[in-house]
Amino acid sequence: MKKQFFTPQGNIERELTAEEVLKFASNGDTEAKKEVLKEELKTADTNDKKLTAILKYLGV
Amino acid sequence: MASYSSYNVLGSSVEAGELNITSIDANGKLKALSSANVANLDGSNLTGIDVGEGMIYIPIHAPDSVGQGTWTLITNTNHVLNQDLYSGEANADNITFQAYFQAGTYTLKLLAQQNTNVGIIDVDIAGTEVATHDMYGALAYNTLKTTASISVATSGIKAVRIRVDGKNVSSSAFGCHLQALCFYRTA
Repeated sequence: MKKQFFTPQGNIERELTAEEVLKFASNGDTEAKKEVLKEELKTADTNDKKLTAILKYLGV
Repeated sequence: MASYSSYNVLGSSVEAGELNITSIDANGKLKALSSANVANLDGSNLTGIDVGEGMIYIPIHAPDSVGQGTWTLITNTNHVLNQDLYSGEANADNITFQAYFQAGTYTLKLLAQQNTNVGIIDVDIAGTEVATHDMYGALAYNTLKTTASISVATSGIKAVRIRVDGKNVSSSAFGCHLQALCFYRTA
């Protein structure tokens, strides 16, 4: 996912690293939270884990 | 046919033929406004205008410059307008917006996220600190902080700087989740 950053050198728009996505998610960023849940869904190896990820994604 | 080269514009309506002033020049164009053509617009004549019209709302998504830190917009559906401007969590991070202030007295309404990992937010106008708010506390979205009696001595475009100035001893970091910034004139 992309973000625009305001810096002393000007505005920069770039893709976030995986670590940054996690940090944004922990800071409440809705889009970053979705990215994290998408990854959880991709790597879920049981139906229970997949269902949990889907429900989290939906906010249920 | 009546001549419309002269009007009475000093009353509440424009009336042809009153011949109080000549409002059209030799080229048939309206004259520029001047004290000779209109009533004095200063002081007590401005009865239809009051200080309540002086509200300044600053959109957080359009900062004019960054003094320190890497700031970005966080999308958060719990927030008013679904966004906040987030700092890079370092002390003294600051960001500046430009806004026009009429000389007068203002109240600041600052909307920000309260949390356990955020710092103290200072607000400066033209380099002078006018407000400080410790945003530490249990997570609470849309926390409103108010500062009254902010005096602006002269009219003009001013730099409004948001600055992280230390933190509560219990806070774990120097974050800043700025949601909205509004000044309204009270005198």
